[in-house]
Amino acid sequence: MMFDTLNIKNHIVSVLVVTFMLVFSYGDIYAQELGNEEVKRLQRAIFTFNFAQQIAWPNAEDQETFKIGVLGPDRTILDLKALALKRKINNKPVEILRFQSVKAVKDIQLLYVNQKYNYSIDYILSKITGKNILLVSEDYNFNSSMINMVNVGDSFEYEINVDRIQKEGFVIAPTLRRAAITSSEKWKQLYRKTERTLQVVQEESKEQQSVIKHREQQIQNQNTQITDQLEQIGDQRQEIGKQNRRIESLFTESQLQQKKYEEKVLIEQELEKNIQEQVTYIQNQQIKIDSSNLEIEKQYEVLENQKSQIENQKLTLEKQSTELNKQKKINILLICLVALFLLVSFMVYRSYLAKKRFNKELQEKNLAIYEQSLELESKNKELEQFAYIASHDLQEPLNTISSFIGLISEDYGDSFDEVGKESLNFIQDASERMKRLINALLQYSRLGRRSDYEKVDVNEVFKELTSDLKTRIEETGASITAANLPVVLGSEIEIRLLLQNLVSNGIKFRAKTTVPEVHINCIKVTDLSEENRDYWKFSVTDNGIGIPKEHQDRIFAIFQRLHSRDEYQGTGIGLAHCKKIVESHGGKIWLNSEVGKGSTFYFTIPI
Amino acid sequence: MGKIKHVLLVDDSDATNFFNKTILKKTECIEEVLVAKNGNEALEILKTARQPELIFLDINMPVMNGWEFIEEYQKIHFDNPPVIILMLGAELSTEEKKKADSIPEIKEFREKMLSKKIVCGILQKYFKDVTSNKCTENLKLVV
Repeated sequence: MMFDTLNIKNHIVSVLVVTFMLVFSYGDIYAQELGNEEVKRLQRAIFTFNFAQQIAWPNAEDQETFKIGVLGPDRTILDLKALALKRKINNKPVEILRFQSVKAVKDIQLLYVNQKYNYSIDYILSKITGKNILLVSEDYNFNSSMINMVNVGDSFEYEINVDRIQKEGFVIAPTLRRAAITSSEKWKQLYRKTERTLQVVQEESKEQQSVIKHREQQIQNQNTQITDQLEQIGDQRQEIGKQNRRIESLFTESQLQQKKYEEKVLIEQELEKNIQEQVTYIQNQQIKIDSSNLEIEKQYEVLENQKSQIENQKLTLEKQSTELNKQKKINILLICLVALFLLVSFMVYRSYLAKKRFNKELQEKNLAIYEQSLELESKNKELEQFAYIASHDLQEPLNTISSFIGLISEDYGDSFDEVGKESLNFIQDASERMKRLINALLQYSRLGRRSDYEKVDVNEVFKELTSDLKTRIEETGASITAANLPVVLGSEIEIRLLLQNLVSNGIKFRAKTTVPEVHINCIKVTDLSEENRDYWKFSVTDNGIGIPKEHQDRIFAIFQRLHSRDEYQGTGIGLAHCKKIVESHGGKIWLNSEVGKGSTFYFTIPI
Repeated sequence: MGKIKHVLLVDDSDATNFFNKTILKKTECIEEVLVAKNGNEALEILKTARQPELIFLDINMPVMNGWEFIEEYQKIHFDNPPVIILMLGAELSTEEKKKADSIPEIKEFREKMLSKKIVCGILQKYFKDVTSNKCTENLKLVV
């Protein structure tokens, strides 16, 4: 019994030391770097090792290595492996194996399984029972486990199902059974208990020594009495010596343990300090977190504000967007309108350009025509001037000739013979005719020059005309009548000459047996072809010889005669005069004639 | 039976002057017929003692034409201003007619080539005291 207790005590101490060493060293190095999870992983491995250490396997001595199995894809295997490099269990090297299925589990001393991989613990137990395997489970139900680790905050508690373990033939260290938490207080108590036990043992041993001394005295007193007892005493002595050695060794051990304990207390103090630091650090962090929380809240508020603002802005934006849409539509409409307007204006502009070009061309043409007409006019004038000057200058020598012939025939006519007299007559006739021609030409060239038109009462003109032609009328017995004569705008002299020519033609060109009848009439007409202009249309009808169709064109040309001078006298310029007068007044002249029945000359004068 | 002492013919044409001179002489009531070939010459004659009582004036002449002559003529003072007959080659233009009417010395317009009849008419009209047998003959003939 005593041996066992001491053994166990010895184990416990060493486990504790290792545990604390590990916790301290890891904690010291990684406390700040590693999160709680890292620490817990380490703890998990350490716990597992500790369990192994504090359970006695019935066949422990048979194995060369201590084997730990891990079920499932658990990362704990890494932590166990890491720890296995540093620690032995029962002075045996540790081997870590992974099992994916429960069936495969065999040849191990400890199996670790975590509930999060969903293995059925009952199934596991049914499979490992009788195989000397200790099951260390995590977060499983207590009743159906051997040793179950429970996550409590940042640390673990463990539960031990003693019945089940003992059923499997394992011996559990009482310390393990007692200590649910690896608290330093409990370890201290444990130590104190051991110390008291030692004192008791020491006292016992002192008592036994005194008993032994007493017995030695008895032996010395009974030297001769009991020789057999000597052997016993010798054995007892040996035994006592052995016990003494043991006590000594135990004593030294307890001294060692006290030293170790003191070290441990120091370590613990440092650890506590460390923890304290960490706590203050955590508090600081908490404060920081609080302040940052506050800040976050503030920011949240700000965010809320901004959110509401954004909502408002959204609303306004929506409004604006609807407005924008409206405006967009309006703009599109406007753009359409503008485009239409541009198109229309472009068309108008194009047509305007075309019109302009057209107008320009027209203007140019008009200008050309105007220039041409100017040229024509000047040429006409030149021609008229030429005719005037020619006839004027021709007249003088002709006058001289006819005057001298008159002088000769008067003074010397009697002394000429018949041929001479006849010749003189011909010369006189010719010069007289030439004089008339020249005068007619002169008159013709003067016609149409006047532009000072006045109101001319054609009735008056007719009266004067009949009185001028009185002799001719009386000679021929002609009847000259007129009706509906208007007042026209024109040159009185020219109109008189016009009518006189036409009437005298009517009288002149008659059959010898006919009594000439000339009738003048006038009606108002509208020329539709020339902007509905109104004209006076005169007609002069005679009962004369008529003009054949083929000659009707050329009778208005100057010096054109259809008959010999012997038949009908005249210069042949009368109708040319008429044409010129009518045209210079802006009218037209034409005729209707039938040979043998008479002619009707028509002319128009614009109103 | 009185006679006109001087008659002046102003014309650049020798033929006309010759003819008119012949006609005038035929009336036998003109003592001397003076001839000038232009206005200048006519003015020279007017400056001499042979003052014409009757002038037959042509218009178109070189050196000085009829109109220019009349302008100069109007500057001269005459005790008995002569009768001026304007001699025409052809009809006067309206302008010329107006101009001629505005000059009181111009009494008549006649065709260039005179005839005895015309001359007699002029003589009877402007020179009452001048009578000519030739003219009366003519008159008798006409009547």
